[in-house]
Amino acid sequence: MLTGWLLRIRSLAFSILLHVLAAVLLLISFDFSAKPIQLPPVDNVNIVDAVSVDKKEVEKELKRLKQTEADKKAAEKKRLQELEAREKKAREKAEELKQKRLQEEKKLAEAKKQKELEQKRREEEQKKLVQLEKEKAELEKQRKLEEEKKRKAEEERKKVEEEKKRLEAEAEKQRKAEEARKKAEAERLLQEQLAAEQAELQRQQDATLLQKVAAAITRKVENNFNKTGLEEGLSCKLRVRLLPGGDVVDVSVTQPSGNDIFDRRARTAVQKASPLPVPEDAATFERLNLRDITFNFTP
Amino acid sequence: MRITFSKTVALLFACLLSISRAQAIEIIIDKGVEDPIPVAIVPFGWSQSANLPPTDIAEVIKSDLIRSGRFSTMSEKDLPQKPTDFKSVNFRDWRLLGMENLVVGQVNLAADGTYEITFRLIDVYKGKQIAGFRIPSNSKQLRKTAHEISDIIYEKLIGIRGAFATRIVYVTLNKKPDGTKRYALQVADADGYNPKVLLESGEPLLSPAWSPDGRQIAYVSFEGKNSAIYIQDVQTGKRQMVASNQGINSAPSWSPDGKRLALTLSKDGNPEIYILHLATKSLTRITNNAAIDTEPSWSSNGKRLAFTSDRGGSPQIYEVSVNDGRTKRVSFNGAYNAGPVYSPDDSSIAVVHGNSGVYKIGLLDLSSGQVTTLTDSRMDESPSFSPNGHMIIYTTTGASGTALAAISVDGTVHQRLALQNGEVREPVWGPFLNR
Repeated sequence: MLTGWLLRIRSLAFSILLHVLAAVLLLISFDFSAKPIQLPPVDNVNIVDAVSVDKKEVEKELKRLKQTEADKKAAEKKRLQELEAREKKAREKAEELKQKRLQEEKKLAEAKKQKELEQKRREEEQKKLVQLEKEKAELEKQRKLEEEKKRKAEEERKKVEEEKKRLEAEAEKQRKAEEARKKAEAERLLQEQLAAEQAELQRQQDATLLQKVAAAITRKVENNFNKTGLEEGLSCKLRVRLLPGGDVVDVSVTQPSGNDIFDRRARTAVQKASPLPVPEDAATFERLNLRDITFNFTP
Repeated sequence: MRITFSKTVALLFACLLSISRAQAIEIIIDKGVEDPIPVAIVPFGWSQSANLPPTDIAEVIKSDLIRSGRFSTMSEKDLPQKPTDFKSVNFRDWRLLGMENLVVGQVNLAADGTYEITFRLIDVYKGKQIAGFRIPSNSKQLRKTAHEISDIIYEKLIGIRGAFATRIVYVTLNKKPDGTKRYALQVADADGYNPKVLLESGEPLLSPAWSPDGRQIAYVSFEGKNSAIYIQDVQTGKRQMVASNQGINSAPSWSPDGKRLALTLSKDGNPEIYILHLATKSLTRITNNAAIDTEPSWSSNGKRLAFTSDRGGSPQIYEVSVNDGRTKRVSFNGAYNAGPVYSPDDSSIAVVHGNSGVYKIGLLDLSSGQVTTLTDSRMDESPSFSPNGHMIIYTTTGASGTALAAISVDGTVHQRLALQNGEVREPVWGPFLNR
């Protein structure tokens, strides 16, 4: 509606401008229809380049011109008046249209506004609904989170509790183990002490026994050690291996005297004395370490 | 803390126990016995199926070893087996008998009549051979070969060369039914076998002496009514008179180098000791004393002479240095010490040791001056060392007459030597013969 209006105003202005332009062109065209004029330089310009012409002609011409001009002007005035009338009529029509349109527009706007209001209301309702939904969902979410949190907390609690129980059980177990270990250690120490005492007793008995055994062996070997014809001052060492029961199984000279005969007599003495008088009990024999005896012959 | 401590103690104790267990016990043998050494001589094998060898080698060896007093053997019937080589020996059997050593061997007669004797001396308890030899011989030398084997056995089991393969010289006296006396100078094996008469005489033969190489014998003979000193070759019988001075010519003794004789001469009025240089027949007077000096004997090192002198009032032993004549009395025990003979190591002198009319063989220790009597008869004379110094041969006179006897220098073994008829005097043990 507004566009139509503006369009009408613009066309009116445009026609006016067109008229003016036509008039101007009419005025100028004469002057310029003459021969071209060399324009003087600007500083010594003569406002009029007078040409000598016949005055009457001129006046006539002028009068005719003036008439023409006046005709023209009158036509123009009339055309203008018509134009103005037409324009007034158009204007009035336009105004009427405008009013009508304005009213329609107003009505339309009113309707639109109503519609918009309705729309807005509906939108708002919708919005409200969405909001409600949203709030509801949010609430649900919150509830769920809360529940999850609670569950997790419960789980955590249980876990902690279990760990606590486990640790307690572990501690108990360790305590018991430690108790048992201490008990065993005490027992072991006692046993060790007993064993040591037993061993010491055995050792003392063995030492006495060993002396007796050694004396008996010495006697037997000395009785078999024949010094006949041997020179004085010799000595040698023998390593003798015995079996339980005293049988001599091996004799080796570990430190010779330098005199083969002396060494041989010593070796023979031990071998002839076999079996050497050792305890009959094999365990005692082993305990006294009689498997391996060194004999030192130093007559 | 206390627990740790007692634990440490227990641990330490265990360690000590294990250490003491690891150590072998040591037994010290500082005594022994002086017993004869057991050695069984198994009869030697014989290569011929027929006959027997002319000499029972094993028997000769056995007698030698027994006579030395240092061995005990077994009679043949007691032998558990009679192996003739090493591989046949059953050591267990011999050990059960306590037989320490075993001698096995074989006598082989070759087609050319020569003999070869193989023997092995075996250590029964070790199960190893101690010595093994193969010795060529002949029928007349078999006894000598057996003595040589005895020498080797002696050396391997005692440590000193045996003196079985040596000879002795002595004088015998036989009284004939018509009242005449026959003196004989004889040489025999050390065991008395194989006597050989070097010289017979109706007049006394005295004081035989071996040359160091065993080839000659010096002696005193009264065959010319007066005493004279002769040297006679044992092998050839050839002899020469080396001293025939006025008065006494007696008691010759060879120097160890064989070049001189020490002897007793009274050519200057009184019995004195002289040295006769055999090459030049020159004399060196050693003693010069109013008393009787006689029976000179060379020390083994040739530096000294021992002799008998009564310059101290009774017969005693003196030593004189051959070089400077310095003389000292060495015997102080007893009223009578005479007839000195140096032991081969010059550590002692064998003497006739007399007290109250009883004469025994004594051993004068030169470091202590003490005399140890070795015999216990009433009339023992003329001691002479075996060349290894282990035995002394001498004469002993009893109710049945005078006989040869031997004794070990440790006094443990007395042995009468089997000899032929008659009285035996002045035995002298010869030197080692070269092997």
